[in-house]
Amino acid sequence: MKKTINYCVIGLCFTIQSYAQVGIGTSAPNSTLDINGRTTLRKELRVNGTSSQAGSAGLNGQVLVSQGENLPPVWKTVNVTFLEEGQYKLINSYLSSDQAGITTLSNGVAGDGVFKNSVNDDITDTSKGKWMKIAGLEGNFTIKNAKNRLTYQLQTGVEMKSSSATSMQSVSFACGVFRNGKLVAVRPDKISSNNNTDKAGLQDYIFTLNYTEQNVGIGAQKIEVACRKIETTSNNAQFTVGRNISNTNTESNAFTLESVFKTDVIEYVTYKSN
Amino acid sequence: MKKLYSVLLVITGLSLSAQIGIKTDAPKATLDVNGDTNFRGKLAVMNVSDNNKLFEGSNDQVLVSQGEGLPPLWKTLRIPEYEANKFYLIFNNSFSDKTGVTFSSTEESTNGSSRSTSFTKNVAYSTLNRFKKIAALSQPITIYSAQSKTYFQFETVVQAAFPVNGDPDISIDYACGIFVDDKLVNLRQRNIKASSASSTFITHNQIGIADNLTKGQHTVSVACSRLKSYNTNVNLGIGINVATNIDSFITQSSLKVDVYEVPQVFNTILN
Repeated sequence: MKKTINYCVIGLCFTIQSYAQVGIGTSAPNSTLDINGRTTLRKELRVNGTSSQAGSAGLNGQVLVSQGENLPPVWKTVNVTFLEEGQYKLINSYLSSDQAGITTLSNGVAGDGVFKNSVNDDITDTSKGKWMKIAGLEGNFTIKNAKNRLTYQLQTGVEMKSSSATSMQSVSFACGVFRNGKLVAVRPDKISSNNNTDKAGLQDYIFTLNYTEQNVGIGAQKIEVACRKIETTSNNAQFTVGRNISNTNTESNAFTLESVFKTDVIEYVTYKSN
Repeated sequence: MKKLYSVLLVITGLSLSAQIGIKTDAPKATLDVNGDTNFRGKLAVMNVSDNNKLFEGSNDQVLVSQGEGLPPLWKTLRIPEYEANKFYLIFNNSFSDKTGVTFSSTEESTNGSSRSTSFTKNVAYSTLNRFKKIAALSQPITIYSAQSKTYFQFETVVQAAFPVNGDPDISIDYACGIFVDDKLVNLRQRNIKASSASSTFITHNQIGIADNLTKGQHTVSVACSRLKSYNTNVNLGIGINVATNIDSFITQSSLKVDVYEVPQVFNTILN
């Protein structure tokens, strides 16, 4: 029995060395080693060895690159990083700016008196606020992955002019982000004038909104920005968002009050599907 | 049949104790194939950092070495799927400053009385009056594409050494501008007003966008100015405290610069 084994060992080695291609799971190998089934690597994969030296196992982080027919593949360094399982990745960013702003919330327009909002409020439902759009900030894009984050960042200049330079007046307002006509982000704020006559009732202010929405549905998305006047101490106070009240005031211009808006689309990355 | 069984036994035995050479009698590894290898099935790797589970990779993953003694791993390259005419984050950097700028009541800018005409897009820093740069926020940025949007986010704390508010209101108008190569790309002005407590401070957050800067290196900087004072002559600090109720850590400035581009320059993936 033992003799047979030895014979077999020698025979096997001899056969392999001299003539044949070796097939595993196949009787008709098409290469020196032909594995018809799943192969598992428990240790390093070495390439381009010789009879006197083992092949290269590559450096940590190198990738296996083909050199084409008749040449062994090689381990090479890549100039890009690898994705790790379960990361959120910035897919796209949409940036817009606007200097037209909103002039239709100025003096003579009463506040809508709406102090509360809920997600999905419709932009056209006046019982949820009289929203005025900042047209130049509209954006359209498509979501491809159900696991995602949309991050909105809005900044706009706000200006008011009190109807009386010697009394403090204020305007409460809110600006929101609408996705497909439904409210998804909103922040309220307030601008107040000084009672100092040197300021002539004019006041400039900066409004900023940062908001993240999670797991937005796959498909086309239309993003709009709109603001509304909530209430004011005087309906005679002038009020603009994203632009100046009048060039004759010389205290500001459309550039210093412009609106900027950025939407980051961040999607989840996974590859453990098998 | 018995013979075949024996051969199988031997192969099993060899795999436990010895190295196998194919077309070589001096194998240099557990399996040394002196020739090509054909994988008809999946190539699985043992993931030593995940309970030695076998992992066959998924579509488009590449085989990545973990160096000597460890099996390679299947990994996904972090390459954005670039779509035409879309903007991608290419460059970003952020900077901070704790020294800030301070203005006495005699350092008001003459631009304070001509704001609508002085503060226009691309106006030169040198033509503005008494704008002081926040030193550590003057930094280089690089644009690689002719189609780009550069996004700036500047935040600082503004403090005036006000007493408790009086009548009429005590306040100061100030402005901060973001400049690229000393040309104005964004400016915000605001009024800091005394409150019921002395030494009022506010957080100033400013976002600006510059479209299609020319390709190459640029210098971004932030400069601020005291525009006009109302019923006061106290000091104004931007990015620095001017009273001891807060400190320079709380008032420090930060500037983040993101450059979004429609990519036009592609580096080779392989080194």
